[in-house]
Amino acid sequence: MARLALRAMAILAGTIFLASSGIFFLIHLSGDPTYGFLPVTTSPEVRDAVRERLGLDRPLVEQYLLFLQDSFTLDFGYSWSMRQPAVDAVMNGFPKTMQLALTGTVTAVLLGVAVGVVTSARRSGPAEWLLSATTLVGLAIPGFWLGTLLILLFAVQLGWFPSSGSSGWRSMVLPVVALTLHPASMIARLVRANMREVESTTYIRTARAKGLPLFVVQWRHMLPNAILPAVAYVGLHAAGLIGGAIVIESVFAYPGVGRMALQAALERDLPVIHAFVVLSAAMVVLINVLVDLTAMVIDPRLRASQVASHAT
Amino acid sequence: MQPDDAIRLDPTVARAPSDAHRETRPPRTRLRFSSVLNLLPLVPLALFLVIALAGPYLTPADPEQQNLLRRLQPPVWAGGTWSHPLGTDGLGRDLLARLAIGARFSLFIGMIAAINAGLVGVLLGAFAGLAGGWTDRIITSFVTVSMAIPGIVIGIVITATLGQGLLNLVVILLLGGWIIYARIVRLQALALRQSEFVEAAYSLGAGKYHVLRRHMLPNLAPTILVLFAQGIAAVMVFEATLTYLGLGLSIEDVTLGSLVREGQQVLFSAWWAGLFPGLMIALAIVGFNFLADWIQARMRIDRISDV
Repeated sequence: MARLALRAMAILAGTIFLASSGIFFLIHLSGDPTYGFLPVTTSPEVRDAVRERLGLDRPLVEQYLLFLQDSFTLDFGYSWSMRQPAVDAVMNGFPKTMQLALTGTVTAVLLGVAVGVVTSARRSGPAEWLLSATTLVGLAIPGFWLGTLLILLFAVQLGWFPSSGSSGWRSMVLPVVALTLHPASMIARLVRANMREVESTTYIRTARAKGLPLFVVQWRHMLPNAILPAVAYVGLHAAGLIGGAIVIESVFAYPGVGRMALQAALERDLPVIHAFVVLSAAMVVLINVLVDLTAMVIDPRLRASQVASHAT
Repeated sequence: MQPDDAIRLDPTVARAPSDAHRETRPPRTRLRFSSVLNLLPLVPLALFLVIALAGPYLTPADPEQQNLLRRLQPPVWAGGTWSHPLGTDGLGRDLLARLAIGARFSLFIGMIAAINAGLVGVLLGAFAGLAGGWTDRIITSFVTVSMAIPGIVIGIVITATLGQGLLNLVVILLLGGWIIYARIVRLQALALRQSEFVEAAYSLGAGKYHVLRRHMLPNLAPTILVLFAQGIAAVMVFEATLTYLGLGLSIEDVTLGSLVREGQQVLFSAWWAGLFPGLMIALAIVGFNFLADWIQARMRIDRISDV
């Protein structure tokens, strides 16, 4: 457990360092940052005063070290466009985004595992064909376009769910579906393929031979051995799942951090962008820790060796 | 010495050992196709390429010409006319013509970005896998840390700092796309480095450069080719997502992503304007993934997976 925590901390520190260094480099690569938010007609005196207040007149090395320090202490300064500390602006939207991302991920895992297990018993036939076709569609459709189609069908034509906003569970349904289809398809394929492999082992033959019902054999004996690649998939694609939630927010006008960050990007509000990057990387690392813990719960061998699921 | 042994020690027989584990390769999980009709899987890609490359010959309409009197015309089978087979958009521009130039631009960006991401990823991965030791550790840490930053976040950061533009878009796609190449090529290179035929080559006195050129690269090549085909699909989705959000490219540039965005603005009155660009993206994804599977089946290499 201590090693796992240490590893997560190291990855988190490395990510914050890399992301912050990258942003610092980009900010100074793009010239004087004050041109991003002050009008071109601003007098040089005012511009210098602003530069001094923001610390942009100090030596680059000093600025860089201060920038890194701010990243690790979560002190990103004042937003340039929103009249509040940048970290507050980001934290306002973050719970909503995480709610969306985690609901989507959990739904994808449950759905993918259920479909994968149920269809793994059938060798061929309509079920197999249907699964292949559905998951193929799921993998081929980009999330934002699926969101558009869902709005067209369920919000415009049928009027079952609202097309935007975040009031109650009804407004979560369409975003979660749009977010879920791709990972659920991937997980269903992974689980089914691994169930097939586990099926031919001797302990499954024993379990069947002693008269256990197929249901018990599948869920109690086969699934724990077949699910680890699916869990590892969630860990490897944690960044993609968070990124997906950020995209889906824009489609459904969901008031999360993604829409705020897009706005900040177009207004070149760098403190907000800085805070946004550091916090979203932290969320990805957090999901990875949860995934590692889940893998340990499922597989006793991992508890013994404490190998992280994304060691490769 | 038996003739058999001589063959096995011969360093030029590079591919023989990989036969052994070919029997136990894991079942496919991704975009599978029946190998009965060998060329069938390439149909989606061919369809996409025809629309993307032969656009001007498919329709005489000018993709930029606006005609407000003929705006939001439905497709020909839904009550439209043959002068606009897929209908028109909110400014009366021909949708098929716009689809063609959008697809061509998306394909162009996808190819450029996939090549660059492939170069960076393959070089880092091969270097890490072949060098081992501290080089490997440093590059692996770099990969692990990079994986914690969502691609869309990279897009937001670069747009916020450097602004919009084609070069910036390619940089975003490169930063989001190299990791998969690096991880898989590194694993393959590690396995190759420990394989018997590489050891045999070294013990027969072959130099590092000879081993790299004669044994490593020929064995890595099919993997890289498959990754490249999958990479184009991945990069095209990423590009469409970015341009849909207004990141990376300026508003005037026509790609499949920007067409979906335009379509969504008139979604309530004209479903076709958002539907067809999305279908084109799906066609490209399926097409390039089928191509990757097709190459895999053809070259009889192990299934490549990032899990």
